[in-house]
Formats: sequence, structure tokens, C-alpha cells
Amino acid sequence: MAPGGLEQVVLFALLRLGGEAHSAAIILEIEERTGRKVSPGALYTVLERLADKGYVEGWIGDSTPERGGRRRKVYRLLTEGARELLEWYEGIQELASGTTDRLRALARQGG
Amino acid sequence: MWGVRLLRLLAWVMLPRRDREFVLGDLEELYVLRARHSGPWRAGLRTLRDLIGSSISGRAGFGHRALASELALAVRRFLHRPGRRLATALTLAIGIGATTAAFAAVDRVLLRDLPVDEQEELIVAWRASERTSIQLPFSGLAFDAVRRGAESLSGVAGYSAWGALPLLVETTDDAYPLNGVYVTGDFFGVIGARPSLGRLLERADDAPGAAPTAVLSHAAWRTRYGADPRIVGSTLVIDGQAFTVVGVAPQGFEYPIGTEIWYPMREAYADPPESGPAPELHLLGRMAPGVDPTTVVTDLTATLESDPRVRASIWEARNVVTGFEEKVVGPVRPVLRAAFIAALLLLLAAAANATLFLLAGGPSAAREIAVMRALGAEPRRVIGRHVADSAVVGALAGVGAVALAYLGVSTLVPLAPADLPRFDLVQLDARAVGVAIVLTVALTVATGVIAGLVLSRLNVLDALSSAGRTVGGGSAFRTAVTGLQVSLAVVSAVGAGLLLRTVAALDSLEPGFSVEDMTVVRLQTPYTWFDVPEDYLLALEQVVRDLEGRPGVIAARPSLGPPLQQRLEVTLRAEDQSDADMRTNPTVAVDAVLPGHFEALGIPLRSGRGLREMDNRADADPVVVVDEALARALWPGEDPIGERIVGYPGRSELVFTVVGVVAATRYRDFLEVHPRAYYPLRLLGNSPPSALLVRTSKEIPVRDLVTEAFAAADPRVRVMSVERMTDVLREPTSGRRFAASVLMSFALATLLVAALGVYSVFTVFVQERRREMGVRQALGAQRSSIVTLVLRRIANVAVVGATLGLVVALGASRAIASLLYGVAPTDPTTLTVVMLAVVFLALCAGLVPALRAAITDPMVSLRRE
Repeated sequence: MAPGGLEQVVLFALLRLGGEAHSAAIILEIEERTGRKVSPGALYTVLERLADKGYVEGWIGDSTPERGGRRRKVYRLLTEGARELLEWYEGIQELASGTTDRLRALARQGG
Repeated sequence: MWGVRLLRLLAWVMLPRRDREFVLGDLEELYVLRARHSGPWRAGLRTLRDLIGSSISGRAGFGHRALASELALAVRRFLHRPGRRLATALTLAIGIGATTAAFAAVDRVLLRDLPVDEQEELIVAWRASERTSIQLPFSGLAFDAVRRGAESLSGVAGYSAWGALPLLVETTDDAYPLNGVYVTGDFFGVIGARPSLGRLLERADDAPGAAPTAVLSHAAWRTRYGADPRIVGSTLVIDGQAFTVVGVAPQGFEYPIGTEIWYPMREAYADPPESGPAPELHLLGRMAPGVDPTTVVTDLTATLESDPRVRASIWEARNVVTGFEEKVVGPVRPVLRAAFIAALLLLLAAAANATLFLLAGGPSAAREIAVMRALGAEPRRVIGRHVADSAVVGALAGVGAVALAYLGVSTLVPLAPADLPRFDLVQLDARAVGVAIVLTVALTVATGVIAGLVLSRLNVLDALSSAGRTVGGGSAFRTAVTGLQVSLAVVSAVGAGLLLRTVAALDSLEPGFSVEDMTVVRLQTPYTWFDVPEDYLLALEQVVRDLEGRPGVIAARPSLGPPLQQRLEVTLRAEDQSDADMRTNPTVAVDAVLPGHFEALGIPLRSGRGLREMDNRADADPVVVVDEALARALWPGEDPIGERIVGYPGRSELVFTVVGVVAATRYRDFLEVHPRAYYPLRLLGNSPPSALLVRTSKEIPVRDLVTEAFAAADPRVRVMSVERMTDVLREPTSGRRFAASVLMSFALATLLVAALGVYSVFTVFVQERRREMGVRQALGAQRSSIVTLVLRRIANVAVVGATLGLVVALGASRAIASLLYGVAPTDPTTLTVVMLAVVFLALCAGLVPALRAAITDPMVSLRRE
């Protein structure tokens, strides 16, 4: 998986939102934390893929007035997903350990 | 807020139903939150981007391919193999483009109201007789009587019965002709037209002795005066008189056809004119409420018959009343109707082709779809894919169609003959483009759905189990469609064929006088001429002598009027005829000529002699030369030489002896031989010769020579225009020629489209039967028998299609009956030739796939199993 891939971003956002959220909340969370703009279409694709892999599960939730009374599809982070995310995150940390100073220096050169 | 509503609607359309609710909910929630931070506009834009972005990224909802991504795939398929789809787009573009252009013309010319008030109340009246094809005039006296007495009309105006005639406008450094019509003062008032500039003519302009005023047509104002608003209030010098231009008529109003300037007669209509020609008018009236044209006819007849003085002033004829709109656009209606039908035929054939092309991916497309189906794609998906394919093709077709329609309108409109009314209004406007868009969308969806339906009903197993042995999906359908195309081509070609024969018939008409080497010079003769006819006669004789002394001039002779426009029309009476007998005499176009007229014009003398010098002396015995048409009418089967006739206009006391008979000509009416009588010019009645016919042996500057000659002989006479005789004689047939060229191009396009259809259908046919043909060849079938097999099949389809087309054409050709000349709408030769030609063309189109099938090695065919 590519670093910073949307799947991991979505899983973390889900985690931050208490492990359970609908698409609009996830979009806003990602936007707020990373400044990254996610289109709903891309998010649906990712959520579907995560559901196929068994990392998350979705169900039809309740409706709220700000949605114009429409129901929402809510997703919950599953154990399998948490395990995968943790594994990936530890892998990345391991890989990145001791390189951050050089990485910053390199990144600054480019700028 | 409408923006939100629009977004909702857009999203609703773009999203698949199953997930619409959730996606819409998310979008709305995001929008509400963002609107709180950054305002409704930016939030709206962002949401729109989300919406579009989500479609393009491939998933509009949960697990559904978005329409946009289906489109993206279709674009990819298009770019991968553009050939077939490009051909489809092009055929559709031609069909839609032609229909759009035809619609633009029909809409602008026929469907839009004329720039007048309540056009259905307006009528036009003239007088008609079995004795002539000419629409005879009312007298000024009759006009006055109708204005006072006819209760069926709430308003009556008059205008020159002879239509727009050229007038010479002179400026200090230039002189040019404008087509002018004299009208009564309330002409525009009765019509209820509003000026596009200044004011129109009023009753006060028409009072005897009023200052001369005139109104310009919108087209003349634009083309001649560069749409300069300062034209209002300026003066135009016509025939030595200064006319003040008071205004410009509304755009698209040009009645009578070709009018560039209207001017009031300033006559007391009830009294005979003191000088100049008496008014000869057609009437324009507004019907009182609840009145129909039949009532008007009765009313006119009663009004005119009640006063013997009035009755004596008009022709022995009946009154004819027709709707104003019919009179204005009537002549163009059959042309436009035919063009529109031809365009629709082309459109149908093109749409059929689009369907065929979408179907004719051959076995490979069929297999691809079969795979889709086998993998569980619903028929809806198959249709969706085809709609997307057609949408790409349709987008191209739509753009192409508008471009082609624009091209067609901008090239064809200037080519349209000037006597087609309102054609200057034709343009590709928003309505026409709207029609193009609607047609494109409708056809795109329809062809896509049809092709998808046919293919989705394929037998999946059959398609997969072989390399195309029995992938006959839609084979019968395809054959039927191409048969239909052949029918359409036949109908279109019959129309074009009939018009081509019409043009050929017109071309074979003999004018009866020399044309190729002849130049027609229109003269502006001063009104003051009426006081001194002798002077004018001498001047003309001097001009003729002068011109004939110049190198390159074979002969020059005056005539009362240029060809086709002569207005001196009389009824003559053989001396021994009673007044009652006279009523069945045909009307005669009179000419007053100089000696040598017939030799100069190349009109053969049949018997007796032509007019001589001595006949032109003031004390000469009155003589006349008649043409064969008049001789036949007055003295059928007899020798007319020595017979005597009465009735020269203005000289009713004279009895003329017939001294010669000449061949009949089409000088007065090109489509119909009109009787003519030639009098010595010395007997000039009340109408001056207004044309000089010059026959030349080489290219010489006729205008300069004639201008010089008149400058020396009588400078009051001006040269108005100089035209070749061939061009003048082309005018009455130009509408039919135009219709023929339009129909011909549409028919050729339809034939081409049908040929493409046959080609593509039989290419697939051959591919589908590759195995069968391989087996046949392997078993010893000759190549020729393979070709015969395919061609026989094509012949069957083509003959059935052509026969069907022929049946339709038999009924449809009546629609163009009024355009035909010298050929019947059901002309068997045309029908037969067209049918054979179309079948032959279909066979040619199918020959390529047939030959390809024959030269394929049977082993190759069989190995593909």
C-alpha cells in the first residue's frame, strides 16, 4: 500500500470518529485534519473496497434533518481492519525510524 | 434557493437509484456545513465539483458505475476504433444537418407570421380569365368603387398589378435601379405593418399633388444604403423627381415580391389620369369580421357590376380573391415542402444507418456482449453501454449537424433565386439549433436503445460457442432496416428524378427568338415623353442606326417591354367578329416595332411580309403582323393574310390589315406560348418602348454604347440595366432549378447512406456465414456461385425495398406536382429508371463483401472454428 493511501486515511478518520461514522463525517474529518479534499465518489469506492476486504462494515442508519431527512449509510471499523491498520502503521514507523531528519532536510532542499 | 434545487435535480439525474438517497444525503449534509463556513456560492460550487468528481472517478454511488464513467469508457472505445463510429456520426450529422437546414427555411419562411396585423384577415384580389394566364388588373375607377362600396372589406388598398419594376435612381455620381411599386396611400395602413425606421406611407402621401414620398424595403436599406438611419428624410431622384424617403418597411416584408421601394401614385382614382398610364391595380383588402373570401368575391362582383362606368373600365373577367399569406408564400411552399420531405427521408436513412453501424460490429461485438451477458450483466447494462456509445457518437453528430446546417444555410440561401419570397430571412437561429439538439438526442437514444435491445436478446450460448457461425443476432432486423433504406432512397430519388426531368423539359423549350447573342437593355423613359412621341420615335431610330453602325453589333431593336415583363395586354377582335364572339379571344401581348424587327431578333417569318419603312409613315395604311398563336386563335385553319383586326390600345378607331405571320415565341411568358401582335412603332399608344434588344457578334460594352447613343439622340432617356437574354429567361425557371438542385443533393446523400447501409449489413452477413461458405467451397462450390449467393440475397432485399419505395413515391410525388413541368408525377420512365438505378447501386454496394467472401480461402474460413 502506498504511504498515505486513501484507505489508511479513511481508516484513521473512522478511528478518530469513535470507530463509527457516515461518509459526510469522514470527509469533513479528513479535510479538517489533513487539509486534503476527498470527493464523495472516491470515498464510496474506498469504503466499498474496505467492506469487501472485511475491514469495515456498513449498514443503513437513521435520517437527520441536515440531510434533508434522508437516511445515511454508516460504517464501523472492524477488528480485522484495526489489525491491518495497526500492522501497516507499525511497519511504516519501523521503516521511517531514524530517517525523519534526513527526510525533512531533503524535502526542504526541494522547496 | 434555486441553486440547491438545481444541484439536487442534477444529482438525482446522475446517480443510480439504489444509492441515490445516501449520496444525496451526504452531499446535502456537506453542502449545509460548508455553506455555514464559506457561503452558499462556494459551497455550491464545491458540491457540484464533488458530484461531477464522484461520477468521473467511476462510482457515483456504492458499487454502481456512473453514467459519466460509462461515457468515459465509450470515449475510450471510440478512440480505440474510430472508423465505424465516426462513419455513424458523420451519417447522422448529414441527416440531422439537412433536416435542421430545411427546418430553418420552413420555419422562417412558412411558419413565422408575416410582419403584418392579423394576416389571416388580409386578402389579395385580381381578375382572371380563361383567355389568359395573366392576373389582370382593376382600374383606378374600380379601386375607388370598391373602396367606397365593398362592405365585406374593412379596408382596401391598391398596388401596381405588374409588380415591382425597375426604376432608375440617380445621384450626382451614380445611377442604379431599384425595383419599385406604386401603391395607394393606405397600402401599409390596411396591411397593419410597423416601420423599422421612420414612418410608412399614409393616405395624405397619396393626395393628388402631394410632395413625392417613398418607403424603402428593409433589404434595400441594408444592402444599398448600408443600414444608414440617415436615409430617412433624404431624397432620391427618380425620373427627375425628388422623392423623400419617409421610412423603412419591416424586415421580411417585400410585397409584391422583390419590391425595394414603394411610392404613392398621387392620383385621383375616380378620374382618368391627365397624363401617363392609367393605374392598373391589384387590390389588397382586410376582410370585415366574419367574412370569408367567397363573400368578398360576391361583394366585389356586385360592387363593380352596379356601375356601368366602372364596368367599362375593367377587363371582361371574374374576380379572384386569395389569402394574403398564400399569395406571399404560396410560390415557395412546394419547394420548401419538397426539400423538407427529402431532408426527412435522408434523416431516416441516416438514423437507420446509425442503428446498423452500432449493430454491425459483427461477430466480435456480438461476442463481447455475449461475454457481458454470460458474466451476468443485466440487459439494462447492455443497453446502457449502447446508449453511452451512441451518446459519444451523438455528441459528434450534433456538433457536425449544426456545422453542416450552418454551412448549408449560408451557401444555399444566397443561391436561392430572388423570386422565392422571404428567403433572405432564413438563418440558423436558436430554434433551428434547438431542433438539431432535440433530433440528435432523440436519435442517439433511439438508435442506442434499438441496437442494445436487439443485441441483448442474443442467444448467449450461440454467440459464445462458435466464432460466429450462428451469431445471427438481429440479422433479420438488419435486413429489414436496409430494405427500408432502399425504400427511402427510392422515394427521394423519384422526387429528384422528376425535378431533373422538369429542368430538362424547361431546357428544351424553344424561346422562338435568338437568345445566346442577345442583350436586354432596360430604358427609363421620361413621363414627359407622352407629350412628344414623335421626338422619341426619331430618337429611337437614331439610336438604332448609331448602334448598328458599331462593330460587333449585328442588330438593335426596341420593344415595348423586356421579355417576360411586358405589360401591354389587350383583347383584339377580328373585324367580322361580334362583341360576344370577342369574349372568347385570347388576350394578346402587343408590341410596337421598327422595320426589320423579326430579322433582328431571329423570329422566322411564316407567311406574308414583315413590317417595312413605309408602314411607319404617319399616313400609312394601318397594318399588323400576328404570330401563329394569334392566327390560330382568330382564324383557325385559314390564311390570315389580308384579314382585318380592330383594337389597338388607344386607337380603337383603326382597322388593321394583317400583312404577315411570324412564328410564335415565349417572349411574353416563357412557360406558355402567349399570342402576340406586332404593330408599327409609329402607332405608339400610351406606352413607350422600355427595352432595347441588342444582338452582338462579340463581347462589346453594350451599356456604354447604348448610353452614348442615347446621350446623342435624346439625353432624357436613361439606361436602367443591362442583362444577358439568357439570364432574363432563366428567371421563370429558377425556382424549379433551385428545387431540383436541393432535392438532387438530398437524394444523392440518401442514396449514399443507403449504399453504406447495404455495404455494412452484407459485410456482417458474409462474416456470419463464413463457415457455411467455407463448407460450400470445400465441397466444390465455384467462387462465382458464392458471389451469386450474396448478390441474390441483396437483390431480394433491394427489390422488395425499392418496390415499397415506389408505392410510397407514387403517393408522395403528388406533393411536388405543382413544381413539375412536362412530366407527370407518376411518370413511368422516371419511376423505372430510378428503381433500376437504386437496385443496381445496392448490388454494387454489396459486391465488395460478396467478392471478399468469394476470395477467402475456404481453409481459412473453416480454421476459424
